[in-house]
Amino acid sequence: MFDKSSFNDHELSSASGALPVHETLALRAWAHPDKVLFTFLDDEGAKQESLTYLQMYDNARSIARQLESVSQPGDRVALFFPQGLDFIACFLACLMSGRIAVPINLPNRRRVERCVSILLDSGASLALVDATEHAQLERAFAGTEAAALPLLEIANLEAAAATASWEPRAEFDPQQIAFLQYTSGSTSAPKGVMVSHANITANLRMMRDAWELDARSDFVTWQPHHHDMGLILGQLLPIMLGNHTVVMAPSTFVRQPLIWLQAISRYKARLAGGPNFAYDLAAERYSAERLGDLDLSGWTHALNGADVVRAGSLKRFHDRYARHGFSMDAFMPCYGLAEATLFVSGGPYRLPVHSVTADQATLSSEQRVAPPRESGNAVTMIGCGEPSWEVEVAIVDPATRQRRAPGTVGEIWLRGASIARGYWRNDAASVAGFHATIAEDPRREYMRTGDLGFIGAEDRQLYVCGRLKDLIICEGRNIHPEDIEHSVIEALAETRPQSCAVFSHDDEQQRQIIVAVIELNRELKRLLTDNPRALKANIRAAVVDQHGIPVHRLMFAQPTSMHKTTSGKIQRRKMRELYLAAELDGIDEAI
Amino acid sequence: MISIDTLEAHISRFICNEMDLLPEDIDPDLNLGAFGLGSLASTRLIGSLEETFALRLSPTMVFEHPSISRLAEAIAQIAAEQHGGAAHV
Repeated sequence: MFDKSSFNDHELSSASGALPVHETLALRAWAHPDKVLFTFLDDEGAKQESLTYLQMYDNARSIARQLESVSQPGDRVALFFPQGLDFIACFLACLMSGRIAVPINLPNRRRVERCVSILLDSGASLALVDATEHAQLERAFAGTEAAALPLLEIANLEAAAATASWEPRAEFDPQQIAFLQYTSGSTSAPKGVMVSHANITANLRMMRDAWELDARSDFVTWQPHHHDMGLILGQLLPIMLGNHTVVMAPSTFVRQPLIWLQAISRYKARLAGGPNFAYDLAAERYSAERLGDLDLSGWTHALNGADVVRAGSLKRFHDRYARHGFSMDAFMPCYGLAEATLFVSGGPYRLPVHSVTADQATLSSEQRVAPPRESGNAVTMIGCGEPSWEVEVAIVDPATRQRRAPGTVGEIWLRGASIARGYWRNDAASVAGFHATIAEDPRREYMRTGDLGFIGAEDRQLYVCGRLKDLIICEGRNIHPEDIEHSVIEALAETRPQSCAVFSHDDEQQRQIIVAVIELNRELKRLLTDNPRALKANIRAAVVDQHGIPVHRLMFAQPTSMHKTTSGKIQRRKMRELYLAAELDGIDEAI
Repeated sequence: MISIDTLEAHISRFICNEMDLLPEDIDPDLNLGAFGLGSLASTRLIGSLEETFALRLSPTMVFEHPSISRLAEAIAQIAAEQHGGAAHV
C-alpha cells in the first residue's frame, strides 16, 4: 500500500486526513524529512530551538522505545512539561507505543491537589517529566497519594537512529484511546475525556477542511499543551497539514503580547488565535514605536475560541491593528470542547463575522431570537461559525428532550466521528453526557455539551448563549464554582459560614466580574465590623492562591437571602438573578 | 534611577484599575493575593512594568516578592543593575 517512490500532494492530503496522527508524522518524515515542523521561541521572542519532521519523528520513536521497556500497552503515562518541543515528542511516543497519554499542567505553587487527583483518577503508572521540573515535582508530590509515582526523565534523544522507514503497525486499532483530556470536572472529581486516535484524525481533518488549510498555512501558537486548543490545534494539526508552526509559552504571550504579533508578522503565519482576552491584551498593549514594521496582512485566520466572543474586543483590536494590514474578515470565532476532541464550528473562511441582535426579554423568557423592540434591551451575539459537515448539531430542549427549531435556544447536542468515547472510568457521567437521545429518535445517541445556543435561522451559524450548568469560563479556563466556594468557606473556617454562591456576570464595559455571596452568621458580622479589610483580603488571597483567578465582588448576605434546593445545594442561577436585580439582603461594600 | 515610590505608584495604579479598587484601599504591605490579583493579571503587571520602565523581569517575581512594597524594592534593585549596565556599553 505504501510501496511507492513518492507521494503527490493529493495523496499526502488524503493519507493525512485518514491516518492516525503519529503515522502521518512518519509519512511526512519520509516525504519531506528536512522541512521544519516546529520552532520554539524563548521569552524574548528569539528562536530557541527548531525540529524538522524527521527529527521530531526520531525523537518520538526513541522515547517510544524507552516507554516499551518500562510500561505496557494501555498504561496511562502522565506528561509534565513546560512549554517547549519535548512535550509533543513524548505525546506522540505514547500514541506510537499504544500507551495512553495524560497531559497535566505543572503543579506550580498551587494545583498540587488537582494534579494528584488526576493521577489517581487516570491510574497513571508512570510520568515522563522534564529534567528541569523533576525536583520540584518530587517535592510537590511528597506526602501525597502520588508520592510513589515513578518520574522518568527522557534521555538520549539525540542518540536516536536517523532513519525514517515506514512501519505501520498491522494490529493497530484507531478506536483505541490515544489520550485522556482532563479539562472537565471539578478538583475533587476530575473527569478524563477519552479521546481515540480516530477522534483526533477526524477532528484535525474537520479543522483543515472548514478553514481551507494546507502545508503553506503556517501557525503561531502560545496556548498551553495541556489544554485541548494548545494540543489539538497548536501541536497536532501542524502534523496533519505538514506546515511550519512557531510555538511560544503562554507566559511569554501574557507578559509581552506584542511578541506574539511580531512572530505572526516575522514568520508570515496565516493562523493564530486564542480566547477573547488575547485580543484585549494585544489591543491594550499596542505600541506604535515598537511595531513600526509589523505586517499582519498575511494573517487570514485569527481564531477566537474557548471563551465568550465579545464584539467590543474584536472592534478594539481591529481599530489598533488595521493600520498594520489586519483585516476584520480575518476574525474567525469558533466553538469547541474537549468532549468533541476540540473543534465543532468555525468559518467559513473569508466571510465576515456574523452577529445577531435580539430582544433581551424575549431571549430570556421565551428562549427565542426576536428583533429588538424599541422599548426593550437588545443583546448582540457573535456567531461561532458554521458547524463542520462532519458533526451533527442538534439544539434540544433539555427538559423535554425535543428538538428546537433554528432561532430557538436549547442545549447544544453533538454527534459525529470526533465525539470522544466518554469519561475515563466514570460510567455514570459517560452515560449522562455521551449517550443522550432525542425524544423523537431514541436510536441516535448524542453528546450533551451543557452549553446553550441556537442555530441562526438565516446564516446557519452556531450562536452560544451560556451554560446550562453553573460553570464559569474565566481567562479561557473552565472554573467550577463549587471549587471556588470550597476555598472561600475554607478561608473562613473559623466563622464557618453555612453556604457560599459563586457566579460571574459581565458589567457595562463587557468586563467579566466574579462574585462570591457568602452567608452571614454572627461571627462573620462581628469580624466585618472589626476588620472587614483583613477578612476580605484573606478570602481573595485564598482564591487566587488555589485557583489563580480573582474574586471581584464579595457580598455577605442574610441566611434568608441564600436560595437552596430542598437537598441544601446552593441555587447559583437564582442567586445571580437576585444579585443583578439588587434584591439580595446583606452587606455589600466596594472592596 | 527609578525610585521605589514611582514603582509602588505604578503597581498600585495597575491593581486599582484591574480590580476596580480605590487608591485608599491599597495597602502596599499587604500580600498581592489580598487584592484578588490573579495569575494572568500578575503576569500582565510584570509586562506593563517591563514596558513602562524598559526592564527585563521574570514573571515569577510576583510570587517571590508578594507585596507592593517588596516587589517595588526588588524591581528598583534590578533597574539599577540593568540600567547601570547599559550605561557602560
